[in-house]
Amino acid sequence: MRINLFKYHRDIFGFSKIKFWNKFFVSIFAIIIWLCLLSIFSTIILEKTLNPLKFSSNSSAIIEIHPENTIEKTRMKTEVVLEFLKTQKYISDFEKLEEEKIRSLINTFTGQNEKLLGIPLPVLILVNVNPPYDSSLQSLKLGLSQKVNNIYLDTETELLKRFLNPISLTKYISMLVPALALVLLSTTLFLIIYAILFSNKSFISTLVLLGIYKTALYKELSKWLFFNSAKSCIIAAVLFLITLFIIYIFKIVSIDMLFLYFDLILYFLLSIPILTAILGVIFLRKLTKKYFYANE
Amino acid sequence: MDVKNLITFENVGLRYGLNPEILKDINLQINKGDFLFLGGESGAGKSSLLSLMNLSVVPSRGFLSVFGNDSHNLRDKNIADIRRQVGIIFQDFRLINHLNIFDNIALPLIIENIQQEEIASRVEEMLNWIGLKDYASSTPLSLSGGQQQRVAIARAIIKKPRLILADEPTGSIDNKMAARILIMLEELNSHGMAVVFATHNNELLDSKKHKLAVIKNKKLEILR
Repeated sequence: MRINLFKYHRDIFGFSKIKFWNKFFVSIFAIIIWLCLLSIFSTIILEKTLNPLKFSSNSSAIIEIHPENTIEKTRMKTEVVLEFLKTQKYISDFEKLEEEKIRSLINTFTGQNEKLLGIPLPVLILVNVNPPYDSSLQSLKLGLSQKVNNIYLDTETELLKRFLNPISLTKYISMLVPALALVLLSTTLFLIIYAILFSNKSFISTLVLLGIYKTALYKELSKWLFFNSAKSCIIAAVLFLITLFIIYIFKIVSIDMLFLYFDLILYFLLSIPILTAILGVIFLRKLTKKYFYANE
Repeated sequence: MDVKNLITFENVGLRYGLNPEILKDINLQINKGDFLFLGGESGAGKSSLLSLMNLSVVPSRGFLSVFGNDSHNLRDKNIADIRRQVGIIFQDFRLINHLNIFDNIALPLIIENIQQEEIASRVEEMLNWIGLKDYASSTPLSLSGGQQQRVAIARAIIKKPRLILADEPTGSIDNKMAARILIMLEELNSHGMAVVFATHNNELLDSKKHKLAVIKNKKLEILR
């Protein structure tokens, strides 16, 4: 005999033919809010943590002002550049390097050579820009070329790399993303499956007490739970993407961080079927046992 | 194992988590054909005792056997098998609201994967017995409390279980309907089904001369 036991039951949005607004809708709504808040805050925290450490080589550049005929001319040109840097909003900070430091840097390429001591040194200014980095660096390049000539903006040479942390962002992302994805996915799945079970507590506990376990109906219940969880995860992922879009629109964090979260979404979506199946089965068994067996 | 002996409690204690014991030194035997009234104040532990009987919880100590199976050695599959031999009636009926009365009563048979023709004839028989033949296609929410409880009884007994556990079955209905429910359960008992009827209604307990056990101070006293 075939009955629509699960057809009309409460799914992800609490759509049921019995009630529309119910606790389940509220709990799913809460999960989505939680996800959005989590993504915004964790993105901001990551951004704030990574930026001061200058992990990204995209965010820095060195301005090289080549020596002029006289020291005075070079000094004036440097003044113009420094004044220009002070007024640009996309510059987060800058530092004019001391002569000693410049010399020691040059020595790393040329070795200790006394014959070179008399040669006038270029002026080096280390600049950190605000996100979005690429566009900031382009603006800096354009601005400088309009302001002064005989100047070079170094964004990718060996010299620049000596100022930066050797650990690249890519390495960090590759370590962080799977960990974040796992935490986020497990928690979300747990909450979603819990919400589905909890909102249908009376229904499921009745079936459990009628001895549904390991029957054809139990398989149907598991299937129902699986598809609802998967559906919930996809909806959560879509909402997550919308959140990222909002983050992007309001420029809350850099584009680099957004890419990190796009990777996260990718992991999230790819692992839904496997993790839902595993977690669904575990949670179904554990949670039904823990919360729904006792009829008190 | 004597087939007449359905449930045996020997010095059973029950606690939830690290909380103090809510049932202590329970000794009880329920045999085939018994009708046991289970009394006690609200919160005394009647539902917990019934939970032990349907294996929703396992004893914290002592020995409990259900249909000859030691509760400590049971796997989930065995527990489900045992539950399918027990009919449970709840105070809040626990009917599935989006199914009609026919499907609600048929549910235990559907779980057992019984043939459709047999389900139809047995549900018809049940609907006649509870006097709700005309309500087969109605949903539970359109019925009164007493009618819903009768449906719950029909669902509990449709498989002719060896044991019926009724947890405050008259708690949500008026006295007239409560008396009717009691008569229905007595009728089932006369056909050999054991009935455990938990209630805090002393009037009901005094109205009949069935076996009576009362939970007092976490212990079970057999009064008659």
